[in-house]
Amino acid sequence: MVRLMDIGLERLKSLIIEMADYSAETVFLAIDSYSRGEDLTDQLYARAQQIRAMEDEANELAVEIIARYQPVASDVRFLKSCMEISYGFSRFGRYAFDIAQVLRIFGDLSLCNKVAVEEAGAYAKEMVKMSIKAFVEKDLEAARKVREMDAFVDRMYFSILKKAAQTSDYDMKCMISEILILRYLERIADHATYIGDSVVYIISGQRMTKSSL
Amino acid sequence: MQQAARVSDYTAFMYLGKLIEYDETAKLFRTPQEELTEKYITGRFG
Repeated sequence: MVRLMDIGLERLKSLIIEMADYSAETVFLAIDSYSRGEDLTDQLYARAQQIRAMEDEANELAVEIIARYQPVASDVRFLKSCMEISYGFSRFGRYAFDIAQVLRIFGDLSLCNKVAVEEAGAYAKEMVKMSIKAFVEKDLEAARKVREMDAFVDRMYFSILKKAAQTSDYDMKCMISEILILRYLERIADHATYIGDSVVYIISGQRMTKSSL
Repeated sequence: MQQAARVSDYTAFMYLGKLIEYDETAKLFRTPQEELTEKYITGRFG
């Protein structure tokens, strides 16, 4: 049976998917710009602003549906989760801009060892793609895999931090830029995990904790 | 149905003479355990 509310829910889902693709593209642009040493700060700022506008639109629509239809059960879980998920995508946009800003501030990083950042960047990209897949396809397995991958990114970030604290033989510019960008990638990975958790909540009503894995 | 959600602490859903689900109102309306309950309270039938 098609309900009046379904029109609004479909519109919201389309908006979230559009936002997902755009914010994923934004993250990938930022990570690739670091590898190539390309300054995309202005472009990424504009994209981050656009994603914020989409977040506002998604939230307005979700609140309107709640006010009009007083949804319950899976519908209210979906609406609540859409608001959380759209926030996650807006953070992707913000961290992508932050990565670009590091390049603008520090300038040429071509002599820095980029292996750790590129590896974490590849993981972050995969986690972003998988969290979107989890939402679009209601894929619980993808949502759980994102959570498992988060542990790797966290370990990498903390190992670089420890190395920086313990060694005196490093180039200051390379070390600081590496730590900053790893921090932003770690946060992107965290938000991808939260998006996966929201998908689990939509489907099962279960809230994910570390022990839920 | 919204009245039931507003005034009660516990809600029972019955269908064709059978008790389908009984739980705290907030839990039942947020995460119903039975598919029939989910379908009814989300307006997919009834």
